[in-house]
This record gives sequence, structure tokens and C-alpha cells, in this order.
Amino acid sequence: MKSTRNKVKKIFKNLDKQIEKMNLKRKKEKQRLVSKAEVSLLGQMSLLANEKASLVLSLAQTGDMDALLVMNYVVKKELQKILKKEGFIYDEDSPLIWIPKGAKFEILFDFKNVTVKSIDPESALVSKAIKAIDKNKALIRQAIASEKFPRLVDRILKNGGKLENFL
Amino acid sequence: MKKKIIAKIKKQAKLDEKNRKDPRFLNTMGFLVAKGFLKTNLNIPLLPNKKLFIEDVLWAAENVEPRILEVLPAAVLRLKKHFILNPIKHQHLLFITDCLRKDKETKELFYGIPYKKVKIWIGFDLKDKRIKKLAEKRVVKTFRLRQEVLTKLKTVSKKLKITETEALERKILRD
Repeated sequence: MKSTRNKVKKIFKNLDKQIEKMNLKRKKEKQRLVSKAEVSLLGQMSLLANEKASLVLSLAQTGDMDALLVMNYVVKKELQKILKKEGFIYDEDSPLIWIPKGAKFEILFDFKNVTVKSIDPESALVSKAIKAIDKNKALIRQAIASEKFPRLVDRILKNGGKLENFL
Repeated sequence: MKKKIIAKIKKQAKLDEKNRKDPRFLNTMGFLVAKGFLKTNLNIPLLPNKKLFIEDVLWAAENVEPRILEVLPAAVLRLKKHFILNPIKHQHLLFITDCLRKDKETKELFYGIPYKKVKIWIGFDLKDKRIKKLAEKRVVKTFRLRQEVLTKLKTVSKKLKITETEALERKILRD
């Protein structure tokens, strides 16, 4: 979905600018600079931001943003402010999300002060199929029926999932 | 066996596709997306003024998009005029919205969703900026004040060019 990708770009470009401002101020005050932040998108946001997955799947999302954050505390606070303005909330339970073996993270945007990565769609679907069945039954059915995620069924089974759960 | 199940899944996926075109789903999503409670990549007409029957919303959540349930109690509480519900049939939903209104934590789940997850959407900024957050909504309260207090209240509000309520709020919040 182009608009989600654009929104993600807008959010993190803004964060990049804010970090730049922080560092300019810190430079003047001869303080330690804020290090480069890293964001790894998970869940629905990762699927919506992926153009190929978004073309195949019917997706809905609450304002939750699931992501792994590697960043300074002040940067996280800044990100939360930006997200709020854009109609999102960072889900503090994100680090609890199970990431299946073999998951790959591709870089969506690499700004001067922030790198934004996203989990590959198939791994995001495997995670949902194993850990959040009830919320994602129709989504997994659609993904299997589309045949666009060739290893999805095998990975679900390999990770202890049951196909009967999606009937 | 695996092939048989996949065939059944594909058949069910076709039914899901049909359900995504059902007016109950389109109306619910059209409204919740328009208000900013949900986002989607589906091409759905936005319906910010729609009135929804709770039965239809629940159908859409159970048959198509369970995420509707996560935002439903907050949506009912914040936009109650848009929802038609039956106080007897939808007792549980009303119980959860009541807990949200009173900010009273409950261990009861709403269709399997913990209170903590449902509560988030109470203070969430919506697209329509006219919709106030629960904390910003005003509640009617009656006091019997002495005449001299009323006179002072009037004088202060006139002097500061604010309403008497605002004058009272300022005084209380400052103290």
C-alpha cells in the first residue's frame, strides 16, 4: 500500500530531522551525540508497508505500530510524539512479538539518523499464524489461497501450527 | 490430507472474499476508517455520518475483520450517537464501555481482548478533531454556592474574558 509506505517515510523522515536538531544542539553544548536509530517494523504495519504483500492481502490495522526499536530514550519519546500526530501509537508489547526462524529484515529507508527495516511478509504471516490465530484466520486463508507465499504452509507446520486452525 | 485441508482453506477464502463485499462490513469499516479508528488498504467508501447496528458491527468483526472488536468499545463510548444497540442484548459491551468511562480496570475480556488493549483507543487522537477524548469531555455537576462566591465568580470571569466554568477550572487546577 503506497500510502502506508509514504506515511512510514514521512514519520521517520521527521524523526531523522528531529535527531539532526538534537545533535546540532548537543554539538554546540559539547555533549555526546545521539547515535543512529534503528526501527524494525513488524505485524500489520510491515505488511501494509510492503507493496507486494499489500497488493495481495486485504489488510486492516488499528493505530498500533509494532516495531523493534534500537534507539536512545529521548529519540523514542520524540518518535511517540510524531506517531501521535500521524494517528499511531507505539505498541510497548512489540518486543514480545515472536519472530520465526529464517525471518529477513529488508531496509525500507536509510536516513542519516534512522534506518527503517521491515520483516519479510511471509515471516510476518507465519508469526501471526502461530501466535495470533483468532485475529488472523481470514488473513492467513487469503495468503495461502493466493499462492504468493510459497513457503508459508510449510513454515506454519514446521513451527508447530495446524492448518485445521484456519478452517 | 494436507492437500485436502488447503483445498478447504481456499474454498473458505472465497467465502471471505464474498464477506468483504457485504454491506455490514463495508458500512462498519467505512465508518471506523473515516473516523480514524482503523486503517485499511481496501478501497472502501468513507462513511463518517453512518449509523450502525451493533449486530452488523459484530457480524463484520466475527466474519471478516476481528480488529474491529479492539476499537469497538472506545468507538461506542466516544461516538455513541452512531451506534444502535440493545441494552439487554449488548450488556457486555455496555459493561466494558462503562468501565472505560469510569476508568475502572476490569479483568473481564472483551471477545478475548484484555481491557488494557481496549483502553488505548479512549485517548487516541481521531481524524475528526471535533471528537473529544474522554478526558476532555465535560460532565455536568451541580453545586449550591454562596451568593458572594457567585458574585466573585462572575467578576473574575468577566475580568479574564472567560466563562464561569473556565474560571472555576483554572482556580482548581492551579491549586
